[in-house]
Amino acid sequence: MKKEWICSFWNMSHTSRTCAKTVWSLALRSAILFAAALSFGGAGLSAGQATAELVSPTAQIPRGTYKTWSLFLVCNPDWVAPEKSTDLANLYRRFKSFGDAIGRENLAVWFWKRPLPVSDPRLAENVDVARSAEFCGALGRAPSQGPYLVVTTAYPAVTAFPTERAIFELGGLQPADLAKLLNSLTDQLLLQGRVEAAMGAARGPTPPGGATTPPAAPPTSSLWIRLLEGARQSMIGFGCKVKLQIDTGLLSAELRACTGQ
Amino acid sequence: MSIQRWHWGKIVILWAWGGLCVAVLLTRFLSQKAEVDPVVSSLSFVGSVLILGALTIVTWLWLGGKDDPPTDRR
Repeated sequence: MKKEWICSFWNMSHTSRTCAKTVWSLALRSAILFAAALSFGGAGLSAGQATAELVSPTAQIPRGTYKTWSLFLVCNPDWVAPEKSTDLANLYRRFKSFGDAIGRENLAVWFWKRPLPVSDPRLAENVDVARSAEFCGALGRAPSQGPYLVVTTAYPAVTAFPTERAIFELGGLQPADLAKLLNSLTDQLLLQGRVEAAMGAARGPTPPGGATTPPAAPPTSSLWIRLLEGARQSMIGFGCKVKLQIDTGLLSAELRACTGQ
Repeated sequence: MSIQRWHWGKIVILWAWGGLCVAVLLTRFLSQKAEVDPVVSSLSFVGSVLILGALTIVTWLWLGGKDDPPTDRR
């Protein structure tokens, strides 16, 4: 009886039973269409990102579906001196290559202050040392021994940093040694989803429980996140395609296409 | 013959508040990638859909109905 108003509204002269069937059929079709639309939206997205360059002091580290997070922490003030820009650029290129090589299930994170090309001579000034220092403080590591590479299998919140982590001091490493270390880490992260304790211990002192062999974190529901992201992108894309213009004579307003997402 | 009658004032008030809540939730949902904080994104998206659904149901069930036209008893 409750559903009859729908049939009445659409001028469908059905009996109560056939009306209910029609209503459920319409609801089911709508649900399928909605799910299909979300799926198509999500299918166009990548499965995730391998590197995250946070260019704002308040930008959050992506939480999503990753097995590990690798943080490049530049807390050493010496490394942000102008003469260190070349070394920093080299480290950053290593970070990019490392981030790409470890696959989409592992995330490499770098902290910038603002978007700036790598070739910029003031690159060193752009490193968000303050934010890295927060992590160094949470880890109990001396900034002077940095930069550090910290690998965790749990989300690296600065207020509650995971106790299972591997910390690598990159400051004293020659370029060849740095490349060798990152290559080894890439192999382990990609194939095993974790970092061996011996590696972390071999590269520098670690706090108790610092370099351990944490079990690989179980992947969370990536499909749902991709669907959500697909819906988000679809809505943003739809919004950008719509050009709304309001002209009242005295006042004119126009919503232009989005420039970036 | 029955006609559809709506309580337009109530509908406007209800949808104004509901629209405000949905706008806030959708802004939150659209402003950040879902993978950054999936739980918050999920809650924002599902919440906005549920609010719109609830508003629709309330509008249809209680703010509109079939009423007979008033009979002229002069």
